[in-house]
Amino acid sequence: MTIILGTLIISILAYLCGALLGFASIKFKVQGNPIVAQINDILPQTQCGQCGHPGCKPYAEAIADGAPINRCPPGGEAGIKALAELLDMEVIDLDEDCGEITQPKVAVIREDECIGCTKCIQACPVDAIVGAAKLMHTVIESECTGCDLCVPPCPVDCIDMPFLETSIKSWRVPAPTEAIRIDNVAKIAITQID
Amino acid sequence: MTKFQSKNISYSHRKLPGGIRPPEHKTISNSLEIQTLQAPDKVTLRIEPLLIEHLLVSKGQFVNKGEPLTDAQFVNKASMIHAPISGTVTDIGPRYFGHQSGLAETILTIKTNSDQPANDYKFEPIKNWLLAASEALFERIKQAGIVGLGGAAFPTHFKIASSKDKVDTLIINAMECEPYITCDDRLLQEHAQEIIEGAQITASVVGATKIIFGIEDNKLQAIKNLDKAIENYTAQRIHMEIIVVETAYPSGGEKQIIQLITGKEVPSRSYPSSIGLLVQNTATVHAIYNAVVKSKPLTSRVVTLTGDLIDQPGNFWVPIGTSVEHLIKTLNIDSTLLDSAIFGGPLMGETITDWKLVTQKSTNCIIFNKSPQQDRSAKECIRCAECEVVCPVSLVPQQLYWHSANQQWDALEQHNISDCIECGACTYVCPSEIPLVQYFRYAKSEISFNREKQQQSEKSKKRFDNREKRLERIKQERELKRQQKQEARRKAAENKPSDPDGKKSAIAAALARVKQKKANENE
Repeated sequence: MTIILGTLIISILAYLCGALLGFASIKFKVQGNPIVAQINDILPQTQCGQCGHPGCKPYAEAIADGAPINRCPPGGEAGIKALAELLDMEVIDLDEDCGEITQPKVAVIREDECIGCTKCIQACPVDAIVGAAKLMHTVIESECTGCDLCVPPCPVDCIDMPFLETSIKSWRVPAPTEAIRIDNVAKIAITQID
Repeated sequence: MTKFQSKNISYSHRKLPGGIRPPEHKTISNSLEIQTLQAPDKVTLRIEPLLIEHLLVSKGQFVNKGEPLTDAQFVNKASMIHAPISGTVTDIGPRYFGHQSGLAETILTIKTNSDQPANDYKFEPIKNWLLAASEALFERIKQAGIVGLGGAAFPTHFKIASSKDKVDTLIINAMECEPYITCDDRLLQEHAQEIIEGAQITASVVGATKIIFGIEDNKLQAIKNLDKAIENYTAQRIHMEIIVVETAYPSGGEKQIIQLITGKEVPSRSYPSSIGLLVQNTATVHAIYNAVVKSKPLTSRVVTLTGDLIDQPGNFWVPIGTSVEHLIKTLNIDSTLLDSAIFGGPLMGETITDWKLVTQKSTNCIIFNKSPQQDRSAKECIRCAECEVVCPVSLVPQQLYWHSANQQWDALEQHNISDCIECGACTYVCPSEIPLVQYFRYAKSEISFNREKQQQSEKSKKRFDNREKRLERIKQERELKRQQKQEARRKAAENKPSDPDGKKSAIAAALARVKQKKANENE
């Protein structure tokens, strides 16, 4: 009797667990490959195509399929390091064929030279250029990723790619070096005797 | 320690988690009355980027002392600036002015001009502030360009606006915990009545029902005078009391004074108004008194000028924008012995070596000491944990230092580096002389840069995805249209009668005839 009862209880429990697992696998099914999203989060989203893929997400998909992680110049060394950490791979140097690591840039249209051909608007991967046919175009600076993709299509070469200037607001505090010891001058001011 | 018996005074026994007790060096400067500094013949003001487009003056224009230089409509997130002296505007433009980055800031220079008669600018007087609307008082505080004079220089009107009707207690910060500084101490000793009035005005504007003066037990005369002033304040509308705490650094930090006085802790990354409190500095409420009752904008402040190179150190009313050069000249400082001066206190201040730099609204103290002869370069961290003991916000500075030096930003965020108040207590006790606070400033700046970069990339990702979706949609729409057209064409072809007006059969008949003819000819 006890054996039958035991078997019964265990099998009921097993069925319940099975039903629960079955339900969960449908209800909480992960859409797509989660590793692609994680890789895509690390990529800088400049959408510049220097890696040979049409945008950051396609490159993320390619990496998930085994493409090398060193093909993203805007991501720089930090990007390669983060990808290597995520995928448990070795940190490698940037692939020189893809371009060099440069300071962030921004596209600027010389507006009086623009003929309004809309070619750059079509090329911009993040819709950062506004304008209409035969009317002047301009770049929304805060949305521009500095990807260079608008430069080649321009028939009159009126797009410049200057480096982003550092302002007081965007300035970053430098790391303390051997030369910076000013704090200690103040420290001596307290510790000395009146 | 002398304790006063008064119904207005109570003694708090709360202590900060850490804190230090450095030599005070306050007696050098706190025995003399506040003097007025000989006015400089030139002042230089920094113009905040937000205000550059809203300047009311141009080069060559004459301005009276106190005249507003910016348009009041546009100062919601900044603060008004006024001419600290009468004279001619001789220069406006981007110049390097001592910013650590070496980048230019927009500055404005005024030089005295004896040819022009000067009339000091004053506001329309408010006859009795008790009867004035709180909006009018608020507007006056905004118009007068008042900022937090304890050192942070955050626009006071902005702070008041964000805590209006949310706070029940106004805490007046009279701690002045950093060594050397005595300007608030002297203000309390000499102008306690006015400070009380200023506190009452501030409390009534934000709708607070209680005012607490928080002060350290090393300022006996100030406590005594404040107590007397409260006793004599007959028009008392809002309850006032003094809470005295044991002297320790940094008891004057905003979150620290709250912890010492109320026992409550302001949650991480939020403001005191979230727990119903507003903290204002002593000098700030005095400036509010000057603006409301005396109708004067903020054009000068009390600065402690101290150090062993000054014959008579003390506190002085110094116009905003006075250069260190002028101070060296009027105070007879031997500049050959001076390598650097400290702006602010020795723990949180900035060491400067350029005498062209000027005092600002936030400058409460300048220390002129003989240049130190000791070599105190940094050595390796020995993990003594002395910094952990003194940290007033219970962080682990040695761990933060380790992660900052190795640029491990995620780990720093997990260790709550954003809660660091940069008080410098850890740097002060460090036996290896490591400039810890500098490491933390560097790390904070990198973390906020990375966060911004992350936000920017999220935004770009969204825009890219939206564009992809849009292009896909347009493609589908085109495809659909093409299919529809094709369908329509096919249908039209089907529906057409095969030979509606007999043309086809006519052609066929003609072809047949031609064929017939050809066949006949061939035969």
